[in-house]
Amino acid sequence: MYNFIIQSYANYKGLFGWLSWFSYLTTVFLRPVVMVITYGVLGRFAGSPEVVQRYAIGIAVYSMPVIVLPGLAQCYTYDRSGGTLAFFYATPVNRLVSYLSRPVFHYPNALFSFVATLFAAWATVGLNLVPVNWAGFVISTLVTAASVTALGQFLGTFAIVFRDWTNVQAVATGSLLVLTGVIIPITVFPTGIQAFARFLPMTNGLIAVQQTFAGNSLSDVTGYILWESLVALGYAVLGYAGFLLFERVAKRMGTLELEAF
Amino acid sequence: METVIECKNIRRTFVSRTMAMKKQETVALNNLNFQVPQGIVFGLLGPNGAGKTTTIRILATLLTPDSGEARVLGFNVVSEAAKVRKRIGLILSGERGLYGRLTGRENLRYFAALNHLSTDQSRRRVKEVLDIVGLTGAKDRPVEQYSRGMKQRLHVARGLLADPEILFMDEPTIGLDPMGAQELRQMIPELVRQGKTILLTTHYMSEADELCDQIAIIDKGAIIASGTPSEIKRRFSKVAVLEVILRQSQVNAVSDLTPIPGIKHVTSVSDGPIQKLTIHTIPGSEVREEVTKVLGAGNIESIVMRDPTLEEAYLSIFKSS
Repeated sequence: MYNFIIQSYANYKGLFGWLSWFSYLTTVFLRPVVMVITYGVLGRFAGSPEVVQRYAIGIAVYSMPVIVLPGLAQCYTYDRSGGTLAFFYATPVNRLVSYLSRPVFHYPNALFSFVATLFAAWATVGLNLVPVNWAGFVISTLVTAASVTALGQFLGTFAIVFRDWTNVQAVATGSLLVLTGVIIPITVFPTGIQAFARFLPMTNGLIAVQQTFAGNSLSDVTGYILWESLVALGYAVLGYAGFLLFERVAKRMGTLELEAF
Repeated sequence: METVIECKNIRRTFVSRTMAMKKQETVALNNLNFQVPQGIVFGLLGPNGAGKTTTIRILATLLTPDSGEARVLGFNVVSEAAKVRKRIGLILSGERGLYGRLTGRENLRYFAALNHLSTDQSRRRVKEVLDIVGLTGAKDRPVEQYSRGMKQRLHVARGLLADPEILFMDEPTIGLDPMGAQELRQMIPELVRQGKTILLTTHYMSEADELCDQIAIIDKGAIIASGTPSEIKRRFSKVAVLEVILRQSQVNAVSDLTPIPGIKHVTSVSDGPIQKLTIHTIPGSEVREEVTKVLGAGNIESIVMRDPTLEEAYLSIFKSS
């Protein structure tokens, strides 16, 4: 357990690019707060209180990948660019333990950002907290944060082999805004895109978060939570497969110590 | 003695592509063959781009060979990489390879965790290696504040952390000041006395001459000479060396001596009024009398025939190839 915590801590402190107070507060709190205020006001002018609530919850959930996806991409990218990835791979460390240790300190960032965004929305554009089913809301949020983190791990492992991967990861983050129902309901998309969206993190979790916020019971959203959990597990497994595969590819190609940018 | 490191017909090519997607191949290792017995310091010398670093990367399981077989302690570095990694330590040179925002101690604790050291082992061993490399006073400073030499010492500390049987050192004294380099050079024989085997690459011939029990010289990915330092000096040095110290400088000393039959090359270094001439001669040629006549016996402080250095043997090898 000690070794697991040491690995989590060292990865986070050594590689997370936004660890200074200024960067952290700006990225984890300020940016999503500005976003939610923007979209909340937009919703108020464009529609009804229901639209405001939908936008606010959507942006709060979207704040999770905004902090976690780049954070985890940085961990892999800077590990490679800093020359430390080679030393990591020269050790007998259990690869699964190491893979699981990397996102440990990033997961709470997703929750901090979510809570800050929601609070900002409540304070500025008004959210009705009376009907919220808190147990279901919290479970939905935790599961959604986990699936976003799993996606971050999956995408991050590509940086072991590919250069400039942070650009691709940025595109992925932007795509989540459009394709997961954050602002635009996915029902307006063609059937194929709707089917694809179901396999993205947040799509199902966001529905669960929104419905429990509106007062629905846990049993009403169990299906969405379970599906979101499966999505999380799927990306976690794919990410681990990538972690192992890309080690072999990097050693084959001789790219382990090359700059990641 | 048991062979602990073995390379058989190792080939490794690097492929890159230009912006126009044209393929460029660089053959880094070309049927590399050598063996390292247990309990010695083995030096791998060669010019830049010869394949030294590629060899170390393959043996440290960081690079896969295209063909051939490499073994460390009997384990194949590709198919049994996990077993190799438990027994090796890696010391590379350079500014990279450490987490700048972590302190020296945090860096070592992290790598101790990666090497499966328990909590107590980690605490004890981190303290020990920090003492060995003289970084105890700086252990709680972020590594990004370390000087070049301090970072190199932390590299050394990390390599020693798990007390490995085999140490791979890629130019370990680069970046160290003379005192730090000397301390590291003094540490190496002690590590061997503890039962370790060290594979070392270096550009400093004097360092290789001082430290290495055996040497292999690599060029264009293949071994072109190997043996003990003495064997290499005797076998490959195509020069005998006459050193002359003159009491008073003679401006034309070099041009006067060069035409003498048997003399290949003359260099001159002046230190105040004294001039030191290093005369490379064809082995077996008797030039001492002629040299004395040309320079004037009264002006010669000393005239000594000495063994060629490893550097001179090394340069002979590459000039002839």
